[in-house]
Amino acid sequence: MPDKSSDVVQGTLDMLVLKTLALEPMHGYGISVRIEQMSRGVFHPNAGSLFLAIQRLQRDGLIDGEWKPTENNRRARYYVLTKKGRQRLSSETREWGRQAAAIARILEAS
Amino acid sequence: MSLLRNLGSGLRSLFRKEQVNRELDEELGEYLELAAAEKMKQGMNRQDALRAVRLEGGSLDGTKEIVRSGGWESVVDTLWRDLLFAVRMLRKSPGFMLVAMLTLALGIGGNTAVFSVMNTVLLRYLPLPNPQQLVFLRLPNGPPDGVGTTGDDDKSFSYPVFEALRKEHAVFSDLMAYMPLAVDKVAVRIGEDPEEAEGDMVSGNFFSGLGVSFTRGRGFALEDETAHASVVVLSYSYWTIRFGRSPSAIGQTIYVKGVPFTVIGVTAQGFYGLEPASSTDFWIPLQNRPELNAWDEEPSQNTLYGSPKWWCIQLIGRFVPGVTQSQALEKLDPVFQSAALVGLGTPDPKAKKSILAFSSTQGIQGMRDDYQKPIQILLAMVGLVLAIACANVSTLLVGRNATRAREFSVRIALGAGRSRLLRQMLTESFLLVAGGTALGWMFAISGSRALAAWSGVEIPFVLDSRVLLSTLAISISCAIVFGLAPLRSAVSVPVGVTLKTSNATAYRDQRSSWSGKVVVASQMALCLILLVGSGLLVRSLRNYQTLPLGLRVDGLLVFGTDPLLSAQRRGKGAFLSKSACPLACSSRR
Repeated sequence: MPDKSSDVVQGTLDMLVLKTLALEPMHGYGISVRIEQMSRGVFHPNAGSLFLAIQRLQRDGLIDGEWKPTENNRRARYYVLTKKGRQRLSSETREWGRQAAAIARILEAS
Repeated sequence: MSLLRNLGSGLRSLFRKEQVNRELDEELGEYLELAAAEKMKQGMNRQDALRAVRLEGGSLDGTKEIVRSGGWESVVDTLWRDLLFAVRMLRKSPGFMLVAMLTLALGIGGNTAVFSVMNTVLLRYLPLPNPQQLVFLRLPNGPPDGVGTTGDDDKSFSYPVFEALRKEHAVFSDLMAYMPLAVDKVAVRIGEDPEEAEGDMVSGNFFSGLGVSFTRGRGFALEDETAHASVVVLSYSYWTIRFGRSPSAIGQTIYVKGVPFTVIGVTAQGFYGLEPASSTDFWIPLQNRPELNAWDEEPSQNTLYGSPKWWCIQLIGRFVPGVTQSQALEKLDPVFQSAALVGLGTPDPKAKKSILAFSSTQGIQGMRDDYQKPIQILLAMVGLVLAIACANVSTLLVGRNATRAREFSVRIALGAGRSRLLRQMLTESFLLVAGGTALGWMFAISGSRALAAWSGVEIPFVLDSRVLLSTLAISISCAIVFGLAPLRSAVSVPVGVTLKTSNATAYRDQRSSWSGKVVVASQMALCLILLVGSGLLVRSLRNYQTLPLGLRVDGLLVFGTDPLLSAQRRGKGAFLSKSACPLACSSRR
């Protein structure tokens, strides 16, 4: 595990949240933990920006929230990817791939 | 779709704030719990775990604030709260509020009133479609010698000239003729009630060519002109005053100098005719009866309808799109010159030559030349008044905020951002300006009514959208100036210093007092200019009053009569001999 966690690249948190929810419906904390795990500890989104992203995605109709009981008998809001969200995820993934490859090419140029 | 969703969700957080807040609380609380549970699994006790989570992710309240401020509704919410707070702050000092608002209202109101007068007299086009294409025809040299004229020599044409020019369709899509039935009003009878009204005789294409629309009925056709039909069109305001906007007015009979006319139409609201500074009540087609001669003129050889020597017709033309004034003059001048000489025999080559010219239909014809300078000077003066009002209010605000420095410091110390304070001050000044503008608008309405009554212009000085926009622009710039003027002194004060000093020894910054000095100095300068200007004005008015006339004025009585109002020439003579002679005789006693 690297000793320092970095900020998520600006503008990509929405995409990461969508990706996480594409695997299974999850609550806020679950999303945060999953992003941390999947990035192997590089990204550790704080609660403020995470919930801001969730609110934004919900308002854009990309995810839906629903209150459900958790394992320890409390309730939490679980988020699900909508159809529109799924489409957005695939288009953003494609775009990201294109841009990342382009940036890599520029940085590797000698 | 997503816009609607966004709107709906935002509105929900605005109007069901409690529930939305509770849900956010619960969701974030759950987040905290889960994060803490994770730490506890690693062996921390509950308190340490909660503390660690807060240290990592910031406080719960901070997070909530971040999430809440993400949507558009938070902007509305803070604006609303700023507004309420500003109202509260202003109510705390009602004297300040009253003085500031009144000062602004006077400045803004004066500007709006004068601007609306300027708009009507100098700028406004006739309320007709494509008014830029319309021009009045003029004769700067007057008509040829030896013809009957009306006194309005520079704008009256003969019938042959009108007939010749209206055929020039390459220049004018329409050329309209109009002439008043009398200098002022003519005798009119509706049913049994005799009264006086202002009427014009117009060509058949008058309404269609100008593009006047109709509230009721129709306008004239060319046949009405050639047949000299007995039909009449009423203006909207005459219809309102005389018929109470009754639809049954159409078809009624109006007697104009005893000649019956049938009402066939009512023009749209806002069309006052073409007579300068007065509103026309009705229009009839051009008439050839001697009793309906133009200008109420006694019919003679030189002054009868159709006579080439009777130069009484006023003309307004609508240019074909794309035709410029110089092109038009080039084409029209030869036509005009030959038509002008019809019926005059061989012209004396030494006699003065009439020349054709155009005059813009912007503003009120005739008044534009006379009043352009005075109105512009007046506008400059009220502009200065507004500048002084602005300076006054901003010094008031600076002074007020200096005494509030402590309050600002406390708020900064409690965690208010400087941008938040700035917004707060802007809101306060916007509120002041809004109040001032509303008051000023009321001043402007009564002021422009007073100006209209004083000047005798019957066309209302409408406060139209341009006036509204200019006032808004003035007030918004005021708001920004006032918002920013006290800004430096308030925000640049170091918190600690103000908090440590007592209220009595208020903190004074060298720079802020410098900017205050600039404001005061410029204010004094402006006041001095205005004072000198108005002093000179009053001085010259006094001179007019006390100037020696070169004759003995004691016991001298000046009076005027208006014999033109009586319908007949013979009546005028009788009026003069009956009323003027006894006066002359009695004054001799």
